[in-house]
Formats: sequence, structure tokens, C-alpha cells
Amino acid sequence: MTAPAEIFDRGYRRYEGERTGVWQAMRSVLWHTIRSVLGIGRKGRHKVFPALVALVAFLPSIAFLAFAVLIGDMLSEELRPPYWELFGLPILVVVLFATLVAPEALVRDRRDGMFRLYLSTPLTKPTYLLAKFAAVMAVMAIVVAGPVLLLLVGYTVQNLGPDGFGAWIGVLGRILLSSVLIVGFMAALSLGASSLTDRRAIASVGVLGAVVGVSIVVGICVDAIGLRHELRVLDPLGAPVEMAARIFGEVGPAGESRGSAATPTWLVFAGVAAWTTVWLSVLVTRYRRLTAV
Amino acid sequence: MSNVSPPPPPPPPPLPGTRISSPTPSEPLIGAEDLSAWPGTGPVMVEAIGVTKSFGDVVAVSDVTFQIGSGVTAILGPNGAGKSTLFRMLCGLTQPSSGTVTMLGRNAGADREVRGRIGLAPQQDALFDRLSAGAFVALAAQTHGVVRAESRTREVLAQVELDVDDPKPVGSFSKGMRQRVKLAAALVNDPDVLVLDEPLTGLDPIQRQRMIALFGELAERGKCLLVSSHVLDEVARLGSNVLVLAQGRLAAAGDYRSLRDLMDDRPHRVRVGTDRPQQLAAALIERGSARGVTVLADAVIVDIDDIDGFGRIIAPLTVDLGLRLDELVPLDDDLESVFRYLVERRR
Repeated sequence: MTAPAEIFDRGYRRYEGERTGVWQAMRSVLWHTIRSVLGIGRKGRHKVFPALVALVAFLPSIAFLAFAVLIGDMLSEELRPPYWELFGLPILVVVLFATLVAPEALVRDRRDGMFRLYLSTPLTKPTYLLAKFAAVMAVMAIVVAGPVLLLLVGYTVQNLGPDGFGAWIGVLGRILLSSVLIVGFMAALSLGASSLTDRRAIASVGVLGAVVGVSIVVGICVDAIGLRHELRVLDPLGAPVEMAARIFGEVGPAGESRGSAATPTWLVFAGVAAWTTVWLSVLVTRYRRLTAV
Repeated sequence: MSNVSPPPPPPPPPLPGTRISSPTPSEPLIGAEDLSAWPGTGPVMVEAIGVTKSFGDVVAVSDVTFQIGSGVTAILGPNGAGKSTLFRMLCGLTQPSSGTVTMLGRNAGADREVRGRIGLAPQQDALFDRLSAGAFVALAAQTHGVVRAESRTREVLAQVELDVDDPKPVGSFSKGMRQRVKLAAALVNDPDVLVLDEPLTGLDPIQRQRMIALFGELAERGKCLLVSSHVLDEVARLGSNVLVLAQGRLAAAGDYRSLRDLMDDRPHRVRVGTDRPQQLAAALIERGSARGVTVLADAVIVDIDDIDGFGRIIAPLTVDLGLRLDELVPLDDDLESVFRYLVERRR
């Protein structure tokens, strides 16, 4: 004899649970974008490029640390690079990373229809863009802040770090501030350039052109044509590193000029702020007009 | 087979409340005056009033007005009729150039809460091809703010008979399975209004049957389902309420069977099965009971203006003639016939 059984409900079941607000939606988009860009949850080949770029970005820090471990106390302060220089050494790698990250974060959604699905949820265009911006910043921070933080920690372990807790916190604060500003600048630029096209490859080329192309033009204007050296604050490759140098109280190569005063610090910040504003405006304007097709 | 077409009689006077006899490009053909009498019961859930959407010089949707309550409503129209643009406006993805669109009484474009009560299954099925069905639906749940995203994902995937633990990416799924994934994602927030763009495309007959049953169940629970489809046979099985768009304008709204009755400038076509079709055809023409007849081997196809009057006279007529009346089958009161009529007269 079989036990009695009963089917209670095989039909549609309502959701009676709690619903959270837009923050949950933004967090979900942010986390999903990070996973997508880094290839998390995908096959190994999707992780190769991000991993390789990150590795190259960390190489200078690893080399300096290896040197410190081998020589130890014999490594004088003059032989150690200032922390801000670690923002400049892998800058081309950072740009290369930006050409991968922003198009993947932004363009794919428009091409495959996810943008429309996102906007049919409580997300709006501003909250969607904010989530994407945060995701790109988070990923870019790996290659911008990561190497410098690694160097700080490594030097500290080797007794080559800043003297005293207060000084250490000060250096950490400068590293974090520089990182946030550089990452914000790169995120605005790469997302702004990526917003102009629905093709990822073209977006990557666009990001590269917006950084390297403009940098070359500025270089020609200053070095070949002989325009004022202050124009270097518009160099998307040099200006962010110069800004980091100023945060550390020093003058970097983009702010120096033979025979004339260094570029004022406010002008360096203004140059970076101007580019950030321009590209953010491009991004916002483009998405304001964009219909979720 | 022969075809006899006597001169057509003058058209009957139009029915009250319709403008079908003299359509102009700026007027909907049918039903515009009867919007308050929309057959849906309960409160109006979706409303469009004088909605126009232009893209530069191109008018995609022009002066469309309708109201929809709970139940299944099919949106029909040929390619380029404005269905997708209308869907986008309903979901708040784009704003109309003029007029107002409200979903649950509010503008979905400006109201976050309303968007949380909409489920959208777009026609495109690229989506996140790299994700598994479970991951994709969970992402939809999270962006809708569903707290129990994991268990809800399991529930809705089970509803469409997919396995939440299947690790295969959606990109490797068949067309029918992808359709079901999209439907699960649209259902995950337990929406009050479901906007489904070609939801039955690619499903096998059994799955199609189950989906239609699910739509019926959702409609019974008070949800409003807007379904676009090119397959008119499927639409007829989904329900009888239709909105017909043609060249961006609302060509008709309402129960398609009632719409057929309103097409009083077009003769009804009936197949009359009999043992002596030629004799019956001659009698119908002689008495002026038909606009035209086509004689077949065992039946007569009759074009008539007054379907009710014909129903009253055909049986006595066959008795008088001593004929056998085998069958009486209306040939053009199906959805496809209604749709073809409404769309073709717009061209």
C-alpha cells in the first residue's frame, strides 16, 4: 500500500517577499560588470588578458621590492623611487587596461539588449551609469592603486617604509587620493569615449586615441611647435601622474620646464578636472539622448 | 468551379459608434469611440492617450489611444507598424513625442516603483549569452530588488521548466529554451504588467501549449499581459482582445470577433455544403441573397452582407428547393482574416 499524497500547488507562485530599492540594483550591476570585465565565472581564456595586464602593471613594483629584499638596508632612499612615480611607470598598461574595461562594461549592454532590460527595472540612466562608473573605477584601481600599495606594504615589511605611523598614514592617504583621482579621470575618459559607438573594437580604438593620440598632439604642440609648456596639463598621459606628484608635494616631468617656473599646481589639477568634465559630459549627453532600443 | 458576382448592393448604413465605412488617414478604423467600453474588466492598467512618437521626419506611432485592463491583449501589426516603439513607450524606455502613456496609473519612465511592477521579455535574445540561466534570472531578480533572489529564481525557472543548476551558458541554449529564460526573467519580480515581445517564437508545440496555459493562469490572477506575435493562430489561442497597429496608427482595438462584425463594408464569406451546389447558387443569386457565389463540387462559397439574415433564410431555402444542407461554415471570422482586412485597407 502506498502512502497518501497530495499535490498542493503546481501553478504560478507569487513573490510575497521584501523588495529593496535602487541601491541593490546598482550593486548588482556593479558586481556583475566587475565579474564580466575580469572574466570571473567564465572560461580561463577570458581571464588571461586582464590577468596579464595586471601582472605587467605590477612588474615595476615587484622589481623594486625584489631589489629591496636582495639589498635590504643598503638600498638608500635616493635609490628608491618616490611612490608617485609608480603611477607613471605602468601608465601605458593602465591605458591598455582602460581600452579593455570600458568597452566591455558599457558597449556590450547596448549591443545585446541588456541596457533595455536594466532600464525596465527600478534603475534609471543616471543610476545605471553611476553603477557602471563605480565598476570601472573598481577594476581600474587594481592596476592603478595596486602596484603602489604593494610597494608601500613591501617597503614597510622591509623596514624601508615611511618613518612612524603618522607618516605611514600620510603616505597611504596620498596614495589613495592620487589613485581615486587618476582612476576617476581614466574612467570618465574611457567611458565617455566608449559611449560614442556600439562596437567594442571601435570603442577600444577610441579610448586609445583619446589618450595616446591627444598626448602626441600635446607633445607636438609643446616640443615641436614651441607652445607654452603649461599646455602639458592637457596631456592625458602626463597630467594624471603630474597630479600625483603634486599630491606628494613634488614636481613631476610634465610640470618641469627648462628656464621657466614649474607649472602651478592648481593648473595641473584644472587640466585633469577639465578632461574629466569633458568626457563625463560626453557620457551623460550621449546617454541622455540614447533610446533603449 | 465558377464565380458569379452580381453588382454589389449599396452598402448598409454604418453601425452606431463606428467609422469603418469612411476611414481617413487620421482616424482609427474601429473602436476609437468605444474605448470606455474596452472589454477588459477591472481597473485600467495600461493607458495611451493621443500618443505619437517621431524619429526626425519618421512617425513611428501616430495618435494612438487605448486602455487595457487585466488579461491577455495581443498587439498585432506587420513589420514597421510601430509595435516595438509602442512597447518601449509603455515600459518607459522612451518618452512619446506627444500624448501620455501610463502604466498602473503612472508614467513608467519617471516612476521607479512602477517599473518594479513591469516584466519585460524583449524579442532580442542575445542578452547575457555567457551566463547560465540561473545566473541570468538571478541578475534580473537582483536588479528588481528581490531579496530572496536565489529561491525566487528557482521558482520561476521551474515554472518554465528549466533547471536552475544547469551550468550551461544561455548562449548554448536552443531558441525555445532562451525564450523560456527570458520569460522567467520577466516573471522574477512577480510583475503586475507583463510585456512580452514574440514570446512563443521558437517554442515546440508542447512548450507553446504550456506557455499559453501559463499566460492564461497569469491573466486569471489579475495580471495584464501584452503580447506581440506574428503568428495569428497563436494569438487567437491566447485570447480574443487585440490591438491592431498599421503604419503607426491604431487600426482596431477590441475582441477580434466583434471587430469582424463591425466590418460592414466587407461581405462575409460562408461555405454552404449541399448535394446540389449549382441549384443553390442560382437560387441565391436570383433572390438577391448573395453578393457573389463560387460553386464547388459539394458546396457553394457565398459572399453575403447580412450574415444574420442569411442564417435565417438558408435553411427554409434548401427545404423549398429540396436540397440537402450538409454544413454552414463561416470562412472569414478568424483573426487572420480580420487582421488581413485591417492591415490591407491601410496600404
